Amino acid sequence: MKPDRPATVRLGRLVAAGLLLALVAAAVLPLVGSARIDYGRAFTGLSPDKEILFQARLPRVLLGLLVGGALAVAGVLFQALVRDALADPYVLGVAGGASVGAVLAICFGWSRWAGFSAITVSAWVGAAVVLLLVVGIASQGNRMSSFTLLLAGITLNSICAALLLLLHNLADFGQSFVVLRWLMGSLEPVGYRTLAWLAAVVGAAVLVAFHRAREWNLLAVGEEWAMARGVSPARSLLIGFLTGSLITAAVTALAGPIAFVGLIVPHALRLRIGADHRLLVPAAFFAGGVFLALCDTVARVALAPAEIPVGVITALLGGPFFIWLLGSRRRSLWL
Amino acid sequence: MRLAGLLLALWLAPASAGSGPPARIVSTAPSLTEILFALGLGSRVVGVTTYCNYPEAARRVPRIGTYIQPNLETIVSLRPDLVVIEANPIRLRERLEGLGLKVLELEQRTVTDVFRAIERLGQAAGVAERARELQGRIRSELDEVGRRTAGRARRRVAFIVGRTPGTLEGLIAVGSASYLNELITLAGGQNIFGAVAAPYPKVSLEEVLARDPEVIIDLGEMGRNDGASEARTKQVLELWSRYGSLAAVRERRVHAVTADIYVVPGPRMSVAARELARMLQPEAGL
Amino acid sequence: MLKLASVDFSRGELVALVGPNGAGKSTLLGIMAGLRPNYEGACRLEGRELRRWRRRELARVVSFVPQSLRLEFPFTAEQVVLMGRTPYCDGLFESPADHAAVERAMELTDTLPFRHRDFRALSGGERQRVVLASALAQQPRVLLLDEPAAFLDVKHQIRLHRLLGELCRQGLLVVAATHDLNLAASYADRVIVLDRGSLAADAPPRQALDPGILRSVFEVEACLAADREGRPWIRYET
Repeated sequence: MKPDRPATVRLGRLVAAGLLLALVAAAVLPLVGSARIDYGRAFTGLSPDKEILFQARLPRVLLGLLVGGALAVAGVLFQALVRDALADPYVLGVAGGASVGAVLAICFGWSRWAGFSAITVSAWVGAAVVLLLVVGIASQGNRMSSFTLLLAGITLNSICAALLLLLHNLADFGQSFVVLRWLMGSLEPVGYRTLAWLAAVVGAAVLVAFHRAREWNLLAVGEEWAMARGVSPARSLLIGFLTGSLITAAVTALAGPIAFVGLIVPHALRLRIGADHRLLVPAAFFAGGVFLALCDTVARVALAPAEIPVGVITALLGGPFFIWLLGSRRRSLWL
Repeated sequence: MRLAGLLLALWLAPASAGSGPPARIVSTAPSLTEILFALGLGSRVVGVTTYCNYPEAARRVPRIGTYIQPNLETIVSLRPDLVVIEANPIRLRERLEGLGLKVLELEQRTVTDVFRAIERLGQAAGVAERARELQGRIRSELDEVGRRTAGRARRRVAFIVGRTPGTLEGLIAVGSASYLNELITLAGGQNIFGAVAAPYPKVSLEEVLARDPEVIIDLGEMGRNDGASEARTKQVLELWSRYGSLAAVRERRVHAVTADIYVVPGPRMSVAARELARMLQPEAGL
Repeated sequence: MLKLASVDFSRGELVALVGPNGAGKSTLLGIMAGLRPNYEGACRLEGRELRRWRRRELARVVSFVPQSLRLEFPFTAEQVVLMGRTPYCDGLFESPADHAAVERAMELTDTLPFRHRDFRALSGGERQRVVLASALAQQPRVLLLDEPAAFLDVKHQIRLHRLLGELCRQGLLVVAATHDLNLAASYADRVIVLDRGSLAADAPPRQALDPGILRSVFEVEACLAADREGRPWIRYET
């Protein structure tokens, strides 16, 4: 994309292209799979073909689009907030809290609460607890800054990691297997009701992230920079953190922690379209979604009928990219 | 103090490991514990894992940690003259032998492995005759199952050993390399994932739907080994009933099981085979 | 710790803020720019206490050029300048008027030739001019600069000082912290000398930079001469 075109035109084209790509993915990817489907039967009556297409594949592709998009947007947000290109949606602790919640549910044998998966609900609770703790710690004494936010997030993240190890050790054999699988992260065919509320939460949060894109631009430069231009950095940081955390918690509760999407998609996009968050946020949403849906399709068919956790595919693709990125980074790492 | 105890134990260990059958045995796997007790060696077992719940008497034996993380210090302090372990990737054998302990490492992957494990344990403990009797009893029980189900049309079955509790997500099934696959075949079933190389592959819901099992055996709610409660069984049936195209759902052949006989490859595998046959071939009258 | 009795600034002044390292130049600029709201005492802008200004309003009146700017992400020079329009923007994108202001600011700072280049790929001096352009795009009445000439080549140093002088004639108050006493002496209308947090002098260059103050505050021996056009000129004795 040419940089001298007006940003509004670039945004329009970008959103149009993203929507088109996402629609194509939603229409085409469910046709790919390990089982052969008779499309004549898939659209009539009760048949395995219909159930495979509409209850096994389509919801999974849609979930991939939502989760991937959400993770990429959360990655963009958190990278801007802490001004570190190596940040990802999991660095600020909330996903750790969600994981602890989910693993607790697994270890205590909680299965379903009021018609919802107890693991999902418990993950939400865990995420909320960590969220409150991070905000509390980060804004203690003085006002919230990128530095205190990052410090609080990383601290809680390591506490959560320790708790996960502890729980995993206490779990019995069968549970520890489930825990391990959960911690790898994977996309599963979920119900359409679940998809609907996820779409509502993620959609609302992405809109907030887009609407306030100008603030992320300023924060990505610096807190004084933002302040000198009439924006309160503490307030923007808080809103950004809450928005990104909401997204991360929602998708982690459903899919577990899926690595690298929130790290490499924002990077690849910045190389292509630059750092302006007004373009980056919507682009990340569409690109992240399509990327994850594609990776998951590979995960579904590569070793069929067995499956590979999608986190393995994203990491296999993301790992080399990350190494290349480290090589091309001129400044030194501090994390 | 602890170190002193460890040194003392090290010093004592070779002395007690003299000639004659072992008198103090530690087991690091539930299946081996079951074999030891089935061989009538229960009184000689001085340490088991926290997962060892069967037979009842095994619960009263001191615990040496888990199958994955045995506590070497505890094992040494029990002054065993034999430690039986399952072949595993955590170099347990080298570590135990490094502490001067006598170790017997046994494979437990296939039905044949289990028979061989019984035989080798019997030899090592000086009860070879009892081992042969135990083998014979298990063999005849398995043969009985095989005879009753022979000649009947095999039913396609999906044996789900794990999933995310409360959902049909993260399905893990029995594949070809598990001893359960052999038991399924023996019990008149045809494992729909019997051609997948792994012992317990992660499979997609799509593949379950496409392969349309006539019987589904679901161990997925085994978060707690507290038996199949009414509510849990109902919950499992509800989860699967969303997929009305499945023959197993239409024919009401979805079974929620939680018993640990399906995860312990030991003497009770003949019990597991009989239970499987009851689900797969109810007409066989087992 | 900065302890000032009282300093007043008025529009149209070009004030140089000098002093040795740690004298409190950046602190004073930070307070005046509204970046350090925890000051004690009073700091009034146009009669109103600085703390009581709404951030956005203040950003339309005062703009601040930091000493240096390091970016983690690939913003272009133009995008950095565009951020200066934030206090005027309500929608998601800038209006044509905003773009005109940016164009003008970049022209004044000679940054248009590399407007689409990655800010991080620019030289130190180019970056400094882009940051200045971003501050000018705020169309302030008060412009505060921290070492604005530190990385500039001679040509651009001269252009900068001409530009600052021009802005003062248009009615802006310009306050620049600098280590270059000669530049302060030759371009400023007024020089404020800070010494360990307190005011050592506040006067036109000739008085503020007399050899006595240079000796006591900066601990250098120097005398004040004049160049051909009669502007003061400091000669250090080494």
